[in-house]
Amino acid sequence: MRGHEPVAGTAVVKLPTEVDIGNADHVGEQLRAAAAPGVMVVVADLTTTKFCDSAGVRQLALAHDKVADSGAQLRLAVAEGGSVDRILALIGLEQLVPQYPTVEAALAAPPERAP
Amino acid sequence: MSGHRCGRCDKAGVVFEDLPGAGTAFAAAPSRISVLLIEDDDGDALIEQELLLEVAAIEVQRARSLGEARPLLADVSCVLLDLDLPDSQGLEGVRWLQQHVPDIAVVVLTGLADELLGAAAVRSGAQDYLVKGHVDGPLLHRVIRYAVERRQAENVQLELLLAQATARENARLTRGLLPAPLIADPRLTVATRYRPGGGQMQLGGDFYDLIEMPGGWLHAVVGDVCGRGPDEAALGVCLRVAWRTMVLAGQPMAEVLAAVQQMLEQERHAERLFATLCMMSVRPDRRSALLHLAGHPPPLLISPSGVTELVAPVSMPPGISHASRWPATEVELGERWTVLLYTDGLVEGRIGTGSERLGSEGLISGIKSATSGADGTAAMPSVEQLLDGMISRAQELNGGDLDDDLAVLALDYDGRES
Repeated sequence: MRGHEPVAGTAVVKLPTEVDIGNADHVGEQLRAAAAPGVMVVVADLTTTKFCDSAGVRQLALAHDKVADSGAQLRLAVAEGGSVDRILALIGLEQLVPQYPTVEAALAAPPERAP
Repeated sequence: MSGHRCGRCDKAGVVFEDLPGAGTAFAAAPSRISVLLIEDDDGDALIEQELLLEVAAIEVQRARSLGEARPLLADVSCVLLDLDLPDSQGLEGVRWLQQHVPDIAVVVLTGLADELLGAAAVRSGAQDYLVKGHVDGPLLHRVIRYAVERRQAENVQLELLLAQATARENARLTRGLLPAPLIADPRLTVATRYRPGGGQMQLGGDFYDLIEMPGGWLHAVVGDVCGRGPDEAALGVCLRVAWRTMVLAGQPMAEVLAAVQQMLEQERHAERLFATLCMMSVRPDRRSALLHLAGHPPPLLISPSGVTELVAPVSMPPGISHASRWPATEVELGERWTVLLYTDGLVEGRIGTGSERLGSEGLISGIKSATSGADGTAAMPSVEQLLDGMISRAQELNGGDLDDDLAVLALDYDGRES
């Protein structure tokens, strides 16, 4: 997996292969911590994540709130048509947190795109 | 006894490494007991320590007060406690130890004049008492060993009681989450299953309910509060009771869902805690139903023509965002059908050792093979058999108990004239 070119004012957090009740809190903390001063966009990279349960979805929603409190925006990178895409679509998380098919697309999107 | 002086005892927490036979020789002894003597009188302390030294399997430290004892308690399994200390008189010391280090056995040392106090100490939680001047080495050893064993037995007993209390609490919550549905319509059969996830103590927030209304409408719901634990389970009970109350009050389904959403938003114990719901209202003629999905997997329809998901638009689950519209979808059921409402615990089990999960596709293919004979003719198992087969297959594929809790509500209808 090649890394992503660092983009000023952004942070990319690579999420594990599986996000469930066992590690969801930790993932949430990582996302919140990524919204350091100067960071405008935090991208949760779920492109290689194969499974995300409801505890994981809740942490993504919480991270969205906390990152917004820090003045930044959380964006999700989710492989289209994959299992995580389907789980998130079922819950309708995209209506809350903007979702892109790749990390590059998430980074390239204009700031504060309305979800 | 204060006339006895002993240079060795001047420091608090003395370990007798300077004595012959102490230290390394003791280390080889089996099941050594580490004893802390809390005694301010040097003379008494000397006698007691000498007695303890007769027994190779005991290692002694000394403190002159509870304050001195405090940092030494970490590795101690038994305390010998004098009841007249500079910072603690009478039973205070026993109570302090009970409160702060309940795992440590306590043997109280009394004088001849206050033997009654020893009995009172035992009632306050000490394991035993000894009368100073009436003790020899073997007795002291026996009392200490017995006190430690008794304390361990008490701890095991306490853990057992806590486990039983948890089990009772789980049973209470389970009754609240999973009622026994009552149906008068003889053409309908109801079957339900619930499995707690991650071992038997891990109750989650899955729930179901079913109400047959006087006009013939049949309302069924399956819900899932994200996460698991007693708080989530209690919230699940709240939501189910809110649902039941609104349905029994004859409210329209959109109002029922709005009330469940309001209940969740007001009763949840943590931010962004959400609950997914699948609600199905079967018409009195039993041929079709109205379906509401809020972030929840769609139910499965098993009919003579096959196994399919009942497709409907999905609204966001209560708790993720505040919904004001709850779209309903009319679904055709037919003359003879089984509908399964389930929570994601049923389809989130693994397939083998990788990260692949059963999913609704896996669930459907499993049901297909269970409901058709080898020659393609229908070999319909009973709805109870179907649920058992489904759950045991998911567990087998997962290689053991499923991580998440799961709830399934099955409705089976046969409208043919018998």
